Amino acid sequence: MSNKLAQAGFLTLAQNSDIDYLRLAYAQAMSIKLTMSDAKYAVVVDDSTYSCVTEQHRKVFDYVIPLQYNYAKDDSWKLANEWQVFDLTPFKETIKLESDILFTRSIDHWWTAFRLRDVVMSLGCRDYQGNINISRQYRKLFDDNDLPDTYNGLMYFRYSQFASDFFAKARQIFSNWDYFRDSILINCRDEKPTTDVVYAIAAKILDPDNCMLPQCDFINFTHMKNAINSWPESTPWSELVVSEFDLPMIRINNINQCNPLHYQDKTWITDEILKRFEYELRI
Amino acid sequence: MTNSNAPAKSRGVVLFALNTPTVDYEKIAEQASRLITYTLKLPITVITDISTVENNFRTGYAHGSIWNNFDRYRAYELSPYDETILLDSDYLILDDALLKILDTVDDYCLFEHNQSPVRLADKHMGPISLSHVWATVVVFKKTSKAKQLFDLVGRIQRNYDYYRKLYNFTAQNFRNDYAFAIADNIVNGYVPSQGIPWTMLTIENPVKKIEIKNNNLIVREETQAHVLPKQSIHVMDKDYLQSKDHMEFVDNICQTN
Repeated sequence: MSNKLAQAGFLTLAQNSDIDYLRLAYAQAMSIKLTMSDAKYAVVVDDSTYSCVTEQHRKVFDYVIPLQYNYAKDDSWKLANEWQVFDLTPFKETIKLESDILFTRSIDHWWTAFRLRDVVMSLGCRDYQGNINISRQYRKLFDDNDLPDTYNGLMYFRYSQFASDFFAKARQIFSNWDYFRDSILINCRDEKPTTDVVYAIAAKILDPDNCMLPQCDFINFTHMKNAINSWPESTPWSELVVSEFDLPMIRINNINQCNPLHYQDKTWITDEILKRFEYELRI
Repeated sequence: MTNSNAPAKSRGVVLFALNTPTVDYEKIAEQASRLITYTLKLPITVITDISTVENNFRTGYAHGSIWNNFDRYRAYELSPYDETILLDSDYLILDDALLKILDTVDDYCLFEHNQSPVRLADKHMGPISLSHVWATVVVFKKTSKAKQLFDLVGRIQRNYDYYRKLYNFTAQNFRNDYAFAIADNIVNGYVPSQGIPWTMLTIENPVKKIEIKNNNLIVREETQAHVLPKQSIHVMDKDYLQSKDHMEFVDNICQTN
């Protein structure tokens, strides 16, 4: 029997390491519930993180799904489990998110665009002023290998044959990373595979045109990495500029953030911010 | 269909002319007014001696000079017109393009982009700050949103140190360009509004002569000359604007046809 219990929803993975990803997922779920009150939210957790899930978390987590196979037990950055989301998601249609993304407004209307493909990854990203990113500082590997400029931070997939093939291909790349790194890719020195690179390779092998929607240039997010915002790398962005929480709106350096916000600096989510979300949701 | 009972909106130009020990802005405004009358055919109001704040000081131009740039926010209350083009007196109106902005703008509009004949001007308030506007030209109508803009510019002027820190800019002296940019960002819902859709042209260097030939604008500087399509220009060289050469340039334009 299919485990796809609901039509559509958001999903993230939270596998705690020295970073409390469950806490980030909790903030993310609250931002989604605050901006899209009908939205369903699922979190995939490993064994140790599962034990940290509280009743408070479950007020916004509609589904808490234990990871079936843990391929990243010894990794601090547990990306090797990512491909399992296709099997684990409780939704027929899933928006898969990295856990350090918040929403400041509804993106309900994006579903209509997503349904044009079986798999849609964000194409490019934006700076905090909403400009399309032109910095290639973090994307040299993509350029050297002519990979599509996709981001898995926010992606959509439907329970379909193409999506199944996509995640099977991703699994194959994760499992044979040494071969892909040393024999296929040019100038790749990544000891471990990263999801952005793996998914971009999978898209390129299968059919890149079927994994993105370049005509829908609103399907991406604000990336707070310093170089994307033309800020010096030496200081975390949260120490460079003012952040204001006028929930659900978030203002950074005096600019309202209307796109999904990939804040990236995990220390930015403080207890005070979680309390503000809880207050707004009355939970 | 136009409501025939609706009173016609009054339109005009407001110029600020605040003299300093070295620059006779009233004299410059007098020449600017002649160009405005000839080109835009609008009434003009010149505002003088209103500043309630001590003089500002500008570095980087003419080896540093006194700069009476405070209280620009009072243009909203001082303008006698429903629809106003607010100008620095060193902005020379040589075409009627701003009338199109007056026709189309709902509340207010400012220049986002500025360039000299050879380069785009840097428009950031600081390395980690936002872009600023160019308050040399402000087109506005008497609406509640425009009033909010000008009121906020006044508040920013009064609390400049606070806003300087909040918006991460390094310059110490008060700039209307910054105050209007911050006010625009806030009034417009913490995103900048759409500005005037073309780039302001600024002549930064000392000017020897300006003339118009075959509908081209020829700007002669010390070591170079620029031939440009005829258009309004912002001239930084106040010595030129007070000179006999400039008066002759204005005479020639106003006597054409």
